[in-house]
Amino acid sequence: MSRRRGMRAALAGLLVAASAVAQANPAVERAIADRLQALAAQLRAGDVDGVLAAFRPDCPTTHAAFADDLRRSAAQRDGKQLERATLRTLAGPAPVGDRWAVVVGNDADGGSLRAVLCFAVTNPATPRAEPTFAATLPPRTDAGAVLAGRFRCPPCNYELDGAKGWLAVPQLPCRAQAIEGAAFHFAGTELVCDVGVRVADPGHDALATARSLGRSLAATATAVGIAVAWLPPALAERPPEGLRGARIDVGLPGDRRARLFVVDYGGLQQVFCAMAATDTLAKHGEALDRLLASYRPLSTDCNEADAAARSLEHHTGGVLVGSRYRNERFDVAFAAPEGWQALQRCSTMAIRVVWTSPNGARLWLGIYPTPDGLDRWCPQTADRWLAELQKAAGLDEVEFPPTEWRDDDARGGKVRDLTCRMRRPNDPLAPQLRPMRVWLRDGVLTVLDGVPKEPGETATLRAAFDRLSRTK
Amino acid sequence: MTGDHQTSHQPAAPLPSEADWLHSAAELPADALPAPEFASRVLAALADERRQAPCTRAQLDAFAPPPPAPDFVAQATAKVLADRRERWREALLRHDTPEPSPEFVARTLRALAADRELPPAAQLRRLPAPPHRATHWLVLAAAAAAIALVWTRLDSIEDTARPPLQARSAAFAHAHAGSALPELLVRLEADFDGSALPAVAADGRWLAEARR
Repeated sequence: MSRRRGMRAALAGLLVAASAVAQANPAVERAIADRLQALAAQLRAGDVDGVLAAFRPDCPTTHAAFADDLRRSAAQRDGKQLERATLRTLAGPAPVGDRWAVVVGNDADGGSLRAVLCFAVTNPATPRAEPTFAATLPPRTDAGAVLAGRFRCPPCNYELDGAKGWLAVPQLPCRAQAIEGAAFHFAGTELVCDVGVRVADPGHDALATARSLGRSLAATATAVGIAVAWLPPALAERPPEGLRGARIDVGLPGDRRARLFVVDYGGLQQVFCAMAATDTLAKHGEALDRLLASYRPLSTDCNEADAAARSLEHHTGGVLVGSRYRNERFDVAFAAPEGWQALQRCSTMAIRVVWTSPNGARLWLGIYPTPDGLDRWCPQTADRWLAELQKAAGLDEVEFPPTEWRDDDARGGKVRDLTCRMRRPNDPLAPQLRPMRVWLRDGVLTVLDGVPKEPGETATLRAAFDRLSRTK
Repeated sequence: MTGDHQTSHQPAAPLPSEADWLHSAAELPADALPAPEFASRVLAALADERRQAPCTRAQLDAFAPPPPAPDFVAQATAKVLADRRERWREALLRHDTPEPSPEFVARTLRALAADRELPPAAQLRRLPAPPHRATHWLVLAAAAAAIALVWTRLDSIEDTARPPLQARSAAFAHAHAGSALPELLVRLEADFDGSALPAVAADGRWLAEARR
């Protein structure tokens, strides 16, 4: 079955390539190449504002994110990298909807930085290419798949097989806040449909997740619809056993609208979020239906626990066996005390495993790889990041003077112990102090965080912290 | 101690007599003396203040409250009901009904077509719903309104603790994504595990800038 799908995908790729060849227009290609050269020259001159002003954005939110990227990149590197900017074409130009799209790589960045751009081509006699869209791509993105609107992830067991007029833009892992994420842009419009993959909450089906999504948006929404059962169109007649889906519509300020869809299968959830002006969504509703109709699981023969574990191992490098967690990629292992229940809850760049003791105490292990834009973690950046996390969680560090970083002779690297207190505790009768340990080694930041349930468990949690080790 | 204190000062001069005071006042310039109407103005102001002061407790106790108007209860009930109706209307306005399914539309059209095919007399007989059916519809409508109200209240209670969708720390990598979905996924995770530190990745550029 998967071979047939592979052949179909290859055939679709060939058709897209053939279509691009058939529609190739040397004059248009020359116009786009000239425009790319002009943009590269502006980048080399440090004229970031000039580059951004050249755009007539199809999608204001995506353009704002691209502008933010470009400005921060220029500021951080003092423009030195941009002085040697070249925009080498990696795929295209190919017609996508009523735009021409091209994937470029910036050689000045070692070829790792990639972006997809769209152009509106006017005046067929002497074509003029006006940039209308740009989005940053993760390194090693399949440039052809971006233009074909195709996105496929065997470990996460799903694909969207390239709906006409859509671009598939994989998200940078740190930004997706998911095991994996992609944004589908309907070329020439502001319509975007994001997809993110997450571990399904135990006991929460697709309908419960859709309700939670509606509640999350309620504070800013003008109207929250009612979550209803829904199935991806391609599977509506004969859904695989265990596959469930739900959808909910939300009205947003400024006459905007979000349509949210959840597919729950094999212990994983794919969450789709299509957001645009109400008019745009109404006008391009069929295009959105086509995109959703191209969704399908790659395998319908999957054990729920295995499927989620396979995806997590592929994307994060971590495996959970009983109450023992082992991550070879980041050289981190943790063996919880006997009888503690473990659960993996993570995104690719913020890996999390949570253990619950028989008494109800909780212990979280968080692994943070070095984020994009930072050379490596150091005690100073680790402290800064921890302060941001504590602030967001409503925690105050209570030990004064603060404990210092010390060399970790047993495991290597540096380690720091600290204690926090909840500003507004959920349970005033429970112990209020919360022990933490931060371990910094080889560019990986590991945080152990515990919440005791009963008095005296703080010491138990601190003792459990010593179970943190390396895999090698 | 007292003796020390007394011996440390010169003996005090005697106070001038009343005649001396009057004599010295007569020698003062005219503008140094209070205006002639000063005393009368002060007395008038004090009298005004007394008139405007609230009644004492004893004075208030001397009066009995008037009996309520005959329509007091009816008016108060009507105002409460109107207020409740308005609040329900506002609550219901926050919700969109889901799109009707194709089956629902087809069934409704079939029912309408069947109605049109009935003879006029039969249609007339079907128009007024029997009393018990009307009651059912009222109960159903009230139940739907109550569910919607509870749903809305749940939302408002839970959302008071949440920042708006746009309020994200620039230290979080997903704050720089051009999409709302990452923030929604963060909130889903927070719903599931509210005690944990936020399940977010760091923005490297923000950290690099903060280090400088």
